[in-house]
Amino acid sequence: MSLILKGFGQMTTQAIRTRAKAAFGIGVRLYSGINALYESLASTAAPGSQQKTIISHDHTPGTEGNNGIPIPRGTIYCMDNGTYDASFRNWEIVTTAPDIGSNISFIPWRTPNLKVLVSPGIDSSSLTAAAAPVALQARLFIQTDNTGIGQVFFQNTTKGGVSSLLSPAPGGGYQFINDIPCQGGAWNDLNVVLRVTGVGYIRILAMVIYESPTYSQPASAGTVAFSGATTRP
Amino acid sequence: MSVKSWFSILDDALTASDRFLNSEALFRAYGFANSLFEGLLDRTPPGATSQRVKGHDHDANGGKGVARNTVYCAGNGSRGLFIFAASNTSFQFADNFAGANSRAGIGFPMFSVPVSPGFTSPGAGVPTGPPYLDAMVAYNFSFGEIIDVEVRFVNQTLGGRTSEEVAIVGTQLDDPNERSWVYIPKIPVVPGWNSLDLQWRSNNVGDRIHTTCIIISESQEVSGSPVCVDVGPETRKLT
Repeated sequence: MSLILKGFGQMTTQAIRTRAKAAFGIGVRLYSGINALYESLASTAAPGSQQKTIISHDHTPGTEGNNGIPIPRGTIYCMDNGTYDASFRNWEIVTTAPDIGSNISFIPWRTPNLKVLVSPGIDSSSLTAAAAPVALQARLFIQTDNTGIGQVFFQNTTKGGVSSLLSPAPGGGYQFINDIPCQGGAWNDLNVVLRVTGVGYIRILAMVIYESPTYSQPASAGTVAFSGATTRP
Repeated sequence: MSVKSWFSILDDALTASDRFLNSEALFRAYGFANSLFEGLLDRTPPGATSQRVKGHDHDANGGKGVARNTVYCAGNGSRGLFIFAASNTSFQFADNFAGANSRAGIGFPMFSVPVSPGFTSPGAGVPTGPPYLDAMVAYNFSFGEIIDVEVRFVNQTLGGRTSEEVAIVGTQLDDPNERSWVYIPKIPVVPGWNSLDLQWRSNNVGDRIHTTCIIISESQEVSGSPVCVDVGPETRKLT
């Protein structure tokens, strides 16, 4: 069996000279690079090779994994209480006048309220393509008898920081919070909190927490889209 | 030192027989390989000081869509989630027994489900092929008689397109308390947030069905990933 070359050498234009015979080194670099790309992409030995020598990419940053831009992985938490049942009050806060001005967790007896495992590289220390801090997105089904009861927000005690404040919509329904801070590659402790401004009840009937392409994916260091990189630089 | 990255045309005009390999052909090949490196690994290629090509992300920056598994799940143990009561023999919302507390009854979808980029179901009704979602739904009812029930999902975001309608048919004389799971395939979707409803139908007016657990997923094995035409590797030309 002949030698199968694999590796990433420098492919600089200086190696290529006009009107000069091609040196073997150019071909060696090409063969090595292409075989290595094959193994990195397909995670199998390059054609003709008996073993794989390049660790394949796994969409985690270079310092944590084997390269590739981190990708959001969709739903990371989901809960649904079904139809509201007064005998089984869950994810519900009933406020009274003395509560006004305080912050109340939706599950006071459980801290944190919930834990979510965030994908490697999805971290609020990075910025999205829109130059906002990387964050988780939540969609909540909220019911209340008083839209002035307060604002809902998420608190991340692992990463530190809080989301923006969400005021319940008249009539309730599905609402978004798009900026929950997160720490990549770790279990994150989250609390769902009501900043109380009024008296009444507020319920969360359903909640999805999501790593979304828009709010959770860090921007690539590249400047040209893959499909658009056809113009000769 | 210069490291170029771009995807050029690599055609056989550059590699004609009986001629020396020229610098243009190699220049393009180097640029192409460097671009692949950046697109695949999302970092600068060896010797370069900046990255030109964005890393592929199975989304807007290239790469086939990937199924990301569970998109929604719900279950409250023995308490259950929703109660359906058949007031006629047509499909009705799975929580229609709740009256004023019925989500569908007050104008909201029962579930709001996030779907991955690239997942657009083909067809105008039940998806004609992948990609789509599939679901497992746990239920119980006690009829003590011949059962003739169907269940399906409806996607409001897609104007009422439905999944497959799955029939549960049987005679429950020995076990009147029927508890089981039903598999519902081919839920049509589009990328982003989808508003879904679960609907039951029974031919026995008055019957009640309790929905106790729901799991909705993008499963690569069953739903498939977005359709991709693979033309196969081109064979080497001998002439």
